[in-house]
Amino acid sequence: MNTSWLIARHEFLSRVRTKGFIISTLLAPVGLLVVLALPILVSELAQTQGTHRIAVVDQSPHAIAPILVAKDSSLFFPANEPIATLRARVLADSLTGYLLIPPDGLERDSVVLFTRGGGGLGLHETVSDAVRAVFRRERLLAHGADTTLLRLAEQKTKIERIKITRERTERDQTALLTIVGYGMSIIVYVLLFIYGGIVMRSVLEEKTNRIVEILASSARPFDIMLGKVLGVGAVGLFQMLLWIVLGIGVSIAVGTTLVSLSGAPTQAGALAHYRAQESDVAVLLLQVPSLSFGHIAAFVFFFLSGYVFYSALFAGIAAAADTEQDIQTLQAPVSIFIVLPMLVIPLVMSTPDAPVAAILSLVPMFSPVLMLMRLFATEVPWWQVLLSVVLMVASIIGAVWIAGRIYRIGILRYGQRPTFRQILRWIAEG
Amino acid sequence: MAFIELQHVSKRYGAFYANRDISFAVEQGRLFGVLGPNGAGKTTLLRIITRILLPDEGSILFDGEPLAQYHQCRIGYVPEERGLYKNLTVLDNLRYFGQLKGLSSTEATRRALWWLQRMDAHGWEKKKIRELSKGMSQKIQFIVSVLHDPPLLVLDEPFSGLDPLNAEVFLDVLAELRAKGTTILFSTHVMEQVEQLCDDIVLINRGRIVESGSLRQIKARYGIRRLELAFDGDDSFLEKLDGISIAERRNGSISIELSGGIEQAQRIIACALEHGTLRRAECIEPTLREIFIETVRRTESQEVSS
Repeated sequence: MNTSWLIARHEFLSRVRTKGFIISTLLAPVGLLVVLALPILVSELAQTQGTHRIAVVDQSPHAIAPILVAKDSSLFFPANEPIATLRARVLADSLTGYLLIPPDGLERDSVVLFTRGGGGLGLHETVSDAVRAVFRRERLLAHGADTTLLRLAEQKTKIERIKITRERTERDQTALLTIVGYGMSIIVYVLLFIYGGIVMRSVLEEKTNRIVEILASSARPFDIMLGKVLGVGAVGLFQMLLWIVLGIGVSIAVGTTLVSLSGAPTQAGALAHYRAQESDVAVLLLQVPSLSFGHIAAFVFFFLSGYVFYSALFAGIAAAADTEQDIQTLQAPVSIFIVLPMLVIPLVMSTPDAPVAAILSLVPMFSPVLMLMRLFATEVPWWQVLLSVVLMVASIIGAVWIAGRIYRIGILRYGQRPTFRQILRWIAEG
Repeated sequence: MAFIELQHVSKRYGAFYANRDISFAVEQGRLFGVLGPNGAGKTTLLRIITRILLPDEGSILFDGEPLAQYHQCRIGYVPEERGLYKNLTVLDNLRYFGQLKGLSSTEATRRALWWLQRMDAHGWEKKKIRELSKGMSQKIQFIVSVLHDPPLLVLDEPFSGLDPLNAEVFLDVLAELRAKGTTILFSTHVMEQVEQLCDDIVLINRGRIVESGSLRQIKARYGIRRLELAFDGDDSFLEKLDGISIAERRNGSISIELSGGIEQAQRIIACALEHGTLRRAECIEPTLREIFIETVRRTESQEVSS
């Protein structure tokens, strides 16, 4: 145990001091922001439809074309060529398509869009959103609606959600928390691979450099493995701590800047106001979530337990391997269990209380991602939380034991990559 | 008293015996050689003695006690393949491995600097291992093994790849350590070094001990095998003697293979004195190389026939 501690401390100190650690600590949040912002950014970019051009052929007596063009001039433009020319231009790809408003289009509430097909759902959605908005407005105006009525018709109803518990009544943050939980689960998922990979590579390096023989002449193989797993895990925790400090620092800095710029009371308010029309999801992401201690504890517990579980197994795998290729082959049966929960996470997000979600989240290999997700998305019954913790701890002990047996035999074996059958025998015979 | 004693030690990998029924004792303060051809099981044996591996059968006594985990901090080990952290400095490597053997950080540092000086490696402490040549990192590897001043030092092929100058430094240090009472056990297949250095040896082949004892005893057991004469006169008397063969005959110097040991040599010398002028006669003991080759061949043919 004493040597485990020495090894863990060495792993921690020798990693934290490297340039790589400092750079990754600074760059990872930037990377995470990019990953989170990219889908929003891409969808916004897609909505502008940059290269798409649609000619509007207005045969109606109501002069709808100019209104449509005014609404989205990057997409629509009034046609002043005959339909045959437009048709030829569409076929020659110098035009995305043309929109025909028939003479009785407004009365019948229908138009025809001519394109070469394709263009994706995005184009179709953009066109129909714009056309519907304009038509609704024009039809309302045609029926004598005034501007007040128009504004009322276009308003979106706000639904405030209140959660009732035995103790108190509070604002329901389910939507926000679900998204935060999703983010946390993805972070855990990514970190399991990153830190598991670090453990794996460093075990392999020590094996190929024969350092492990020196270590084994001073400590029990099990203690060496445990020390490595704990040391690298400590690096992970330390990095997270730095991120939290960094995040608080940045948000305070950004908050004060925004307040001084706009005079708005909080950054969240300011941003929410600014983006109100854009997207509900974006607004939710920019609000500061009020996380309870329980949520943070859950995150730390499930990250750590998932990390110890998987990185111990990865250490065993690396000990059995001789080369990077061996690792690729041998790690597949373990990695699949990290990936699988990501496939069912949409299900758990939308129906966190469903029996199937509950059962999957109790499976120890999945708990670090799925139970964490549920803890954010819903009120998980206490017995399930307890059961999950107990199962997790038990499987950590099991995984470390199994990995220890593979590690002990594997680190001094060179030459042929062992088969899965051989590895099972190592575990059985120890 | 034996400092380390192996009793019927066996190590198996599946059906293959890397070591089979190995028993020997190493006296305290002796230089003990483990000899054997490649693949004989030397490395496995040293790993068992350093408790990197556990034997499947048999037991090991360390200073009178059954070998246990806590004895590891009283054993120094130089593995066959060098193992150091390439991206760390010499001092960081030494300090870390020293601490694993139970030294405090400051004590490990102090001793590391002393040893660097002793091994003509003064001023290397800030260098990274990757910047060192093979011979240099070999020195560092050796310092790792002696930093905690272990009473037992185990070296696996310590001299492979050393230039003569560095080898001299190593030999000096080993002699010093032995004079202090350190028991030193090493494996090699360089026979000349064994003759020069070792007090006792075991010779293993295919996992089994085929010869063991002090160098003197073993040589005595193999007896006189060769007689060399510098002789002037008619040497045709040699043709009439039984049980000998003439290996070489040149300019009055004759090399004779014997089958009857020292008595036969004495009879030949007596005959030679009668037949001419004997300028020089020498009974030659077999070299360790010859014993090694002969023993390995003999045991191999025994195994084939059985």
